[in-house]
Amino acid sequence: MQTDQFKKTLLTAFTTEASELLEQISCTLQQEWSSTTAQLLFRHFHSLKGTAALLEFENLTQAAHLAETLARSGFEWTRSELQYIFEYITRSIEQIINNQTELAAYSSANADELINRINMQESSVEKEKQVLFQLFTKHLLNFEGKNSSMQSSSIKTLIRAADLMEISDLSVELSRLVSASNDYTDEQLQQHLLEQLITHESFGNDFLNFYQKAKQ
Amino acid sequence: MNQLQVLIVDDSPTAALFLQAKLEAAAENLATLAITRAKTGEEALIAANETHFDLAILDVVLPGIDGFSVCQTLKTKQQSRVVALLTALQSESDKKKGSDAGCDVYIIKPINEATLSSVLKLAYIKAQSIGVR
Repeated sequence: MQTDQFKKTLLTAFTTEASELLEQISCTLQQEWSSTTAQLLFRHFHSLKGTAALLEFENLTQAAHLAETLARSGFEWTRSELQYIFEYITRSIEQIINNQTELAAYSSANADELINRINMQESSVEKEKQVLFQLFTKHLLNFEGKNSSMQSSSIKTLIRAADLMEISDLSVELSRLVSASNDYTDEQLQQHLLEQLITHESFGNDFLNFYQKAKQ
Repeated sequence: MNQLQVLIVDDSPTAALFLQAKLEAAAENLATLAITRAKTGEEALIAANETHFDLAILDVVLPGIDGFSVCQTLKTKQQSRVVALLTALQSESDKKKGSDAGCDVYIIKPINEATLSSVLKLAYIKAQSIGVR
């Protein structure tokens, strides 16, 4: 049923709609935080997730799902995380639009080639779970030069993110770390957090590689 | 061939386009479809005042009036024989809201072609059973 022409039409509809949604998200993120703002953000990210899923853009779908989950919680602390994910999604969609424009110039390119190429690029740039990795890396890198109270606050943010994403065992481990934070120096706390993440089954060596690359 | 009046309510043009294509493919050899599309709950209710639908497929998360409320109105006013909610919301509380709103089918995204085909057949049988069209 999905003819080549139909897939191309769908892809065009997606890029148009996604661009509009990103504009709306950008405006909403600048508004004062309230339950209405959170609800609007939830709705926009939810729409993005749905349309990205239709075209099987897995990383984009996952990123939008993470944002949707955070926004639905309604907590103001999610704002900076939502901004971060929004920037990731914007970059991804810009890549899709660029690819679409570039490939449209070749009359031999069919819709499957377009979609495969986008998916290949998407997976080479960002592997599965890397949005979550980025979120945690951002907090780890922000540890540098921060006092222990700010570090604990940062870990608490990660605990809430882990809770929302239902990674409960990580949430428990991170909570233990916060309780024991007074026993560590700032460097030790950062090191322990990193150890917790790289020994966790959802993160592991993939996360370590990602973190080291980001640190360079 | 019989004709079914179908209402698609989704604020996403991409999703509506996709769903329409899936429905038309599933309806092949069964019935022709007269499809009305609405982007908001308000638009859906206006359309339902003008046309009696055999099948309404509603997204839940919509700007303004949500899919649950639209569903409830369509069922209360008997403006559609079959109402299906099509959503990514899959918690038990959301499903209960759908059931409380009187939906006939609660479909979790992504769209399953077999389910869509069954829903279409359900609408077809209901339309046939009262001898309309």
